[in-house]
Amino acid sequence: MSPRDELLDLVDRYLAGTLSGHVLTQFENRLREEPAACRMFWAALNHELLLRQYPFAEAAQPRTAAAAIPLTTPWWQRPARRLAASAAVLLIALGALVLPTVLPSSNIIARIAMITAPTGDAGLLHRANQQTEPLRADVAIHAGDRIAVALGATVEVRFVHEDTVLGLGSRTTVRLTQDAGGTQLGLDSGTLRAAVAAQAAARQLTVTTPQATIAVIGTRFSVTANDARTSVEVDHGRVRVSAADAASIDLTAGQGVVAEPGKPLTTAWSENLRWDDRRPLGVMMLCRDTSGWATNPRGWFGDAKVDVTTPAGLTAFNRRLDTLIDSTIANLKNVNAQGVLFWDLEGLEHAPGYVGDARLLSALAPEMDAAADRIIARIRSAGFAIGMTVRTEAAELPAGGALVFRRVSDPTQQVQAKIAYAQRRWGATIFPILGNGGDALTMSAICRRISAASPGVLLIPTGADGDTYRWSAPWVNPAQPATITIASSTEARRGQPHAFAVIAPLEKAYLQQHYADLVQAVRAGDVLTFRAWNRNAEQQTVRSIYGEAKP
Amino acid sequence: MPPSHTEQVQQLFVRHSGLLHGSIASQCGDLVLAEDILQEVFLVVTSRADSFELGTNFLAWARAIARFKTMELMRERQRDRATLSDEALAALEALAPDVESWQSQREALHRCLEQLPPAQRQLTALAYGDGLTPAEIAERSGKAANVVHVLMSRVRRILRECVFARLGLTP
Repeated sequence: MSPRDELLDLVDRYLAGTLSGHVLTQFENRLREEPAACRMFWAALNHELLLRQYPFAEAAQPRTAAAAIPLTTPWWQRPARRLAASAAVLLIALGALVLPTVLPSSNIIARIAMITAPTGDAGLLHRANQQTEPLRADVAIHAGDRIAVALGATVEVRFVHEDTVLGLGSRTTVRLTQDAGGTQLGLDSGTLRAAVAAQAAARQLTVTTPQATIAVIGTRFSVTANDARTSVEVDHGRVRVSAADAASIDLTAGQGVVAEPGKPLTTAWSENLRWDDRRPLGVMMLCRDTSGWATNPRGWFGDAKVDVTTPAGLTAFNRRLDTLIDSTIANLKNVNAQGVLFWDLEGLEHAPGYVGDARLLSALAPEMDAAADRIIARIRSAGFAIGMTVRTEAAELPAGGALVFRRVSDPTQQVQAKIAYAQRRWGATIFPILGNGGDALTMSAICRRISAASPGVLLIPTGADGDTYRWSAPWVNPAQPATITIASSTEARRGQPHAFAVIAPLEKAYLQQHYADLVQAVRAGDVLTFRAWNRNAEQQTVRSIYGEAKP
Repeated sequence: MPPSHTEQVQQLFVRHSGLLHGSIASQCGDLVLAEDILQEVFLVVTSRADSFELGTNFLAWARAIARFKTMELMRERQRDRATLSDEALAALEALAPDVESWQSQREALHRCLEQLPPAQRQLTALAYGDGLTPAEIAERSGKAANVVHVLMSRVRRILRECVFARLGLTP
């Protein structure tokens, strides 16, 4: 049996409860030492879970109601569930018996693909023929049907003849109709998120609310409507929103609009910055740049004696790295930090500087690629968030050549891909952004688009403009004012109470000289950083500033 | 009327429930028990919804709740099942999947199931969709239970390899 098959067998046995003793220990060792084993574990585990949730009946042959097999068995509908959930499911089943629906299949628009109803009540389906039945998975939606989602439930609707998916939120009521011009969704109230497949020529999907009509060619967007207002936000592509007075406005990715009676339609960018943890951040800079050292080309620890070219040298490198992480964790705890920002995980072998692309780790710094999962897991286990620098330019390493940074036509996509990698591999949540958008985009636009696509991350652009505060916490070095100064965060907070800056590590002399200003900045919400990899006097001053800033 | 804060938190729970189920199962080593714990976690998440700030990391918040709830319920039920050490769990947690990878795998599974011959797909549907045991499937199909068992193992392996290949987890 190959090591991979052995691992899969171990996962199966673990989940079957038949693993113990030294075999369990071997399994644990592989998980601790092999990131690939962890990825395989999750893939195997998720495979089992996904199979258990899969809507098998969706693509099954047509069948009678009496022979119907329940397709999706979400966790609240499985045997031995809580009484309330079971009762609710029973009600749904009874409803299906009491209200048999005989409808032609020719005008089926979509099917209910998935229902989540923690309270057991998913909602009702009001048929065009005046019949009403409980919402069930796999049920067909015909032209003219109205879906009413219950409080707390969500429903996913998949179109039958195209790859369009609707997500309907709690308390949403929507009616689906179809004609030669396309599909119409009448959203009376609630929230509808849509991923719309490219529509055939001369056909269009439209969403109509009490205040607006949204015309869609093929895109991802969300609409929330009630009696007083309709808000639309676009994730991808373009939609046209028309108000009742016939005024219309085109929205592109990241844009939003609110339609209210008697008020003109105005484009608004959704402000997405919400990062409430304002404790300090540690910074990790592990390398000396372009050292030229033969045995330590990446410049680890700024020490020419490090040798990453021999097995013995690598053992010593890892030992030293682990000691440094011990020290880092102790320093982060001492300063009560929220996390640590890795600035040069890829090493600094090449002249352009910080790489900001962890995807290249194995090519640029294989010794760190082998160690990164271990050290980052230790930091996360100690309760600290992980930050990873990402660069707007593409880093390229030609065969046998030196690293170069190349401007790209879509810096947002470039940064987004790097963020996704660091999120997947290490659970990173904080991302200093190096570089700029060049001629293609402003840093504000880049941050706006990323925050729309990746909510819940903190972006720290180093080349920021004032508008960037709406979607990120810009990196500010008050000792070396560049694009923006520390005063810009005060200015930003006048319009956005949640705005804040992340202040670069400062020398002790600067910290002492501007102590009162920094206390005020921290009190107002700005975040201080400090060098985390060794014990230094600045850490104590940062701690003291935070202590002073407490209300 | 827009959803309340608690409803929004519940929606987040629903969106992440597969991932949370996985996290719990990795900790307790039991998919069925993990389902029960997941429901308990839902109740805790609902009761503590006020303490969650929308826009922050829901998965991290909910995973922390799930971790403690799992420890508590396993202690209560005096489970003697061997489970992974804290160190191994920490290594797993560092590489825990996110919603994107969950959805990618769901899509891969969908494509692979579509590729299965009808008989194999039906077998998978009976086992996973209807939750039938090999003996029950054997009774329905008129085959011997051990034959069904072998067939199930084979289909399961084919399906898993197909999904893993689509995810780039090739041998």
